[in-house]
Amino acid sequence: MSYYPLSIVLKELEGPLSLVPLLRSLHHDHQLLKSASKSDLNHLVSRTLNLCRSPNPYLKWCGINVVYVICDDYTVLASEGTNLLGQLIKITESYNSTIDLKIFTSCIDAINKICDNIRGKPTLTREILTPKLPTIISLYLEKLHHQPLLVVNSLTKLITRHPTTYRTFGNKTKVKLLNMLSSSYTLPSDLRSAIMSTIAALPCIEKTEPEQVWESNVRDAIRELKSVIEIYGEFLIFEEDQDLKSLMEKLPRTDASQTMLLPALAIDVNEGLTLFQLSTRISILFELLTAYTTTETQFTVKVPIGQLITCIETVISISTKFLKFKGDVRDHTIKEIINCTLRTNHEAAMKFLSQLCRSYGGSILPFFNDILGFLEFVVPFKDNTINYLELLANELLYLTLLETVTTLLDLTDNLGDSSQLIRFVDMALILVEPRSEPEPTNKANTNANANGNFKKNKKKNNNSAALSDLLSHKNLFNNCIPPQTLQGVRRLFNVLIPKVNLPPTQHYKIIRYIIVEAVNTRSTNQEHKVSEDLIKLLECALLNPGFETVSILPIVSSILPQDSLISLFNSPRFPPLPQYVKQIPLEKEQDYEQDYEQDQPTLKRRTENETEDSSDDVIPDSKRAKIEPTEPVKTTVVEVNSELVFQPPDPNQVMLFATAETTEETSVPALVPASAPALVSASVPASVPAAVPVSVPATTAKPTPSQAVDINESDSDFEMPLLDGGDDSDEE
Amino acid sequence: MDEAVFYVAEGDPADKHSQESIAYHVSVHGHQQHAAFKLANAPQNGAVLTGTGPQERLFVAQKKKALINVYSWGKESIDQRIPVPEEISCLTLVHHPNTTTAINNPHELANFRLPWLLVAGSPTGKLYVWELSSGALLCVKHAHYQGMRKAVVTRCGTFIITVGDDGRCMVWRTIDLISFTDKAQSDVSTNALFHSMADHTLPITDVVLSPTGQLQDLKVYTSSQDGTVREYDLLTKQLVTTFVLPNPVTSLCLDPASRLLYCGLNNGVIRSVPMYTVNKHNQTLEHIGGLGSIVTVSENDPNLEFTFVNHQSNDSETLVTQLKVSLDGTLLISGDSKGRVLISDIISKQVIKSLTSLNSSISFIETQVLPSDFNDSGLLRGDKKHRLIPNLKRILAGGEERHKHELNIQITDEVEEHDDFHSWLAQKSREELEFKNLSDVNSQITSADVESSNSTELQLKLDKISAAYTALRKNHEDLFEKYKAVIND
Repeated sequence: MSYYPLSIVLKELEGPLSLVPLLRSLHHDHQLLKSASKSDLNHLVSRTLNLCRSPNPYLKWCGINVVYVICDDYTVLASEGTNLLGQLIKITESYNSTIDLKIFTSCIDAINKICDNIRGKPTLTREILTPKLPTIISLYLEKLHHQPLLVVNSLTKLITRHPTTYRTFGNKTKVKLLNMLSSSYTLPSDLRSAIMSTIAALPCIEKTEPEQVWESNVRDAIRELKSVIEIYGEFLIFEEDQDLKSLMEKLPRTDASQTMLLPALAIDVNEGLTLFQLSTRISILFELLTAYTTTETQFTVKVPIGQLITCIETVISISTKFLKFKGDVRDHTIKEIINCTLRTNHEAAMKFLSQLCRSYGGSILPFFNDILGFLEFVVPFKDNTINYLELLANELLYLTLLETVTTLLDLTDNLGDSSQLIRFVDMALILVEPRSEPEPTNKANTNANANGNFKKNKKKNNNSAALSDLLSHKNLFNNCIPPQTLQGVRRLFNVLIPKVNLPPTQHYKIIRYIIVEAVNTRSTNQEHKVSEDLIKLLECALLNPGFETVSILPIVSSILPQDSLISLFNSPRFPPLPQYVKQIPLEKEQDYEQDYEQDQPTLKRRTENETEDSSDDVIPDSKRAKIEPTEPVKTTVVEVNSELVFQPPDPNQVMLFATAETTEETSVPALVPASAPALVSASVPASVPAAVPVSVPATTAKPTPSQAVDINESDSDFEMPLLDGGDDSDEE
Repeated sequence: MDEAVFYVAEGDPADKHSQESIAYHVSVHGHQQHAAFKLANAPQNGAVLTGTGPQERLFVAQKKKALINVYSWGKESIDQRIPVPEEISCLTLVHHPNTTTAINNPHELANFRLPWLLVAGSPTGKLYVWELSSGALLCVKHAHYQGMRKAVVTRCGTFIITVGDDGRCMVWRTIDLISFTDKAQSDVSTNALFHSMADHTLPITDVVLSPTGQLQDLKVYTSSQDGTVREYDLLTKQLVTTFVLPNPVTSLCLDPASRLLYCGLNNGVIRSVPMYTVNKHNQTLEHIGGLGSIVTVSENDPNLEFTFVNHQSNDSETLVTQLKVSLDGTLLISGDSKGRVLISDIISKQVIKSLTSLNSSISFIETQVLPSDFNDSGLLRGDKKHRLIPNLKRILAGGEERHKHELNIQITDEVEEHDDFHSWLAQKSREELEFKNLSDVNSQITSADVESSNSTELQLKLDKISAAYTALRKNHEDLFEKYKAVIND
């Protein structure tokens, strides 16, 4: 790609028609700015600043983006950093909602870029960044509402990188962010998590004992969570579940004097909608705890992992499956809403648990059995079978459950007991079953027919048109399984197969599903390709056969003919071994040619070339004495014969290995040779090739003629190290 | 990139305060010494290193004392002395499991970082498991009838394998050992033992695992004073091969690609046993052993093709106590009972380097690959409060403990992805397009000529009226002056 020279760039910057080629040239052509003269650089910066000052929004946008690119150059940054940053701050200061938002986002991006480039360089930081930082922080806080996600993320970075400067803005930031969180409108999930991360990063600005602040914040959040959970006690009879009661006692007590992070909830039972605040608050608190437990800390913190898992267990234990509604809660709508909020709570708790598993790895494993135990409660069971309708109605919740189980199982490579997992497997298998619409039920018609009232039936029913399709083209009404569900279930299978020995029923069901899906996917595209996750599953199933009596290798080989792993199964190989292939003395090679030239013309041409090549190399006499045989070995010629060089192992032979003599005492053949390995192979007649040791060691101190190594002749992947036997002639 | 070796000795019994005991961390290929740890001595396999570089640690079990000494990289003296329930004979570490389905990016290195578990064995045969970030004692188990010699852990951390003087090799499932649930239900977890192998007739001296990430392919090799090396398949619990060596085997090591087995014998000899050989009859390469076969390794090797004799000496008996193979499988690093550590070329069997000798039997050797930008001059960072590890507890964490379980960790961010200029430029290209007018209608507001001419006319008119007004006012003032004069007169 060609780039513009600087003169063109400078000219274009006076009033650019299109900025992108200029940006590309300035970024990619590293010599453009490095080789530029000082006056050119001054021109570049002054024209950029002119663009930034322009009242025309497009030109202003151009100027900001040129700053974004040229601040990568150290010379520009060092000499003009203050001006560039000052100009960007001015633009941000004067920004209001009537101006194009692109200018604001570009400006924030450019300021962040300059800060990133300066950070870590002591002089530049002292001279440029530190004086401007308070202005930047206050500006970000002031203009936060224009582009909240971008600004909040920028603030998090400033908090963690400049905690001392940020100290004075700590409270203001926290108040502003908490107000946003507790607002009645729904925030996008990415913005919400960004706000949580910023709040979680705030303890690092504390001057003394930030870890204590962090810890007390986490404990406050747990207390607040408990206080919200306790509200459910107004609707459900907690006393019925002693385990739940003891779990609640394990959580820290809530004090009336405790200052709450979020404002108090205003719940009115007569207004059902307000009850949803419960689940919203619990979700927010779980997300806040997620942020605290995953956001970077510059210091060591005490993570109350036990209490966090108890919180999760408590929330999941509150379920109408096990707890009855109190007598005074009679309204069916209220009951439905409570059920709905409980499901949301379960989902939030499981998401938090997944994140803990990802972040804390092994530290979760001591709780493994407990966690699996309480996750099992979530599986929708009715009369000892999985409730299909409930499962599909809350598919996302149960998918979250499966993903949590997957993340948890991923922490270990082998599980002894699979009984706890059967319910999850059954649930997963149901989720990926083909789905169809339920049979249409037209009770009115049926009743009419039964009464023999034919007259009324003659009247055309306009609604029956759609239903007729359902009866005649049932296949068109098969609901698609959401891709998210497919991925989630396949991830679970991928983790389950190698780690757990499932009962045969579940194992065969999974294998059947994988094979059927792979075949179906293959037939739906022109290239007969199978998706990556299915390939992984097939390989996994092949590597971990479980209780199978019949291998699925032939099926998988047919489905994935080009897979390298399957190829390794069908044509097994041993690792390349260290081996010697001796150098062939030139004279002997020529003799060999004469003997075999009629039979093997190809070989002759090859060796001729080699001879020419090798004859060009002038070997010093001193070295030649070490390489060439002092006493020619007659059978050296045999060594060229490819039969004597290691052959790739014959799979059939390898498969027959150790059948009859398995329990008999055998000795290692490699230990038998009594002389140098080269001589052993050389002394064997060509018709009966000798066994060559797998790893033939040789002493380099006294190299025998036939031990010289010809690396060019080696077919092996193993690269023999060139051993220098102390020959000083190399330097000559 | 470089490769380094760390080694430590048992300590001279005459040197009661271990004044002469030093552990070294040196380069295998160069002459650089990366670190030295004073007063460091450990029983056989009684030391363990978390890694190399600043913020890494060395754990050393104190001989004949119920103490574990902790060293911080960059500090030569002992950083922490942690009391433990009893004397420890062997140590090993379990790192956090690597998840395969994690959606997150890898995390940055924390300044305060610890492996997951510390596994220790005692001379009384007890197995201890501590969680390092909390210090909680998660497991105490009477694992062996006699002293425990060594503990190793599979790469995934799923199984802990211990061997002892009772000639048994025990395989434990980590998750069951450390579970809080079992402890809550009963004091003794019953199902943690995955398998017990009791084929050796004399104490087991060493145990190594085949270097594979797949549990299905994992083999366990144990060596014993009965002169045998036994190969087991971990998951099928089968004895695969028995290698019969001419002498008692004191140490064991496996080629990184499982092609050769190196056995240190009690006469100072190291024997290499090839795991593959060429069948004389059909010229095919075959794996040695399998299906419970017994392979006798002949003592007869006059040309020393499979024998390293560098540790042998005439004056006294020398045991090869520790063995390790370099990353590329070409160098064998061996330590003996006289405190010598030799680096030998595997093909030529010659010593290419002799490291600084220690004053007693070498008890632990570890090889590590160092990155190209490895900086061993890194100083200790952080004050004691943020550097020292939590004390290892001496009371077993019970079932109720789980609610109070706390982890001392430093949380790190995910590794930040570099800004992608191409995607940024594509974004700018889209933004630029939004500034351009792509419609047929030109909605730009321009000042029309009519307006400008109007304003000029108005200006002229205004000027004319102003002038007229000024003249009128002047006339008025003049008249007023004349009037005043007339009145006054």
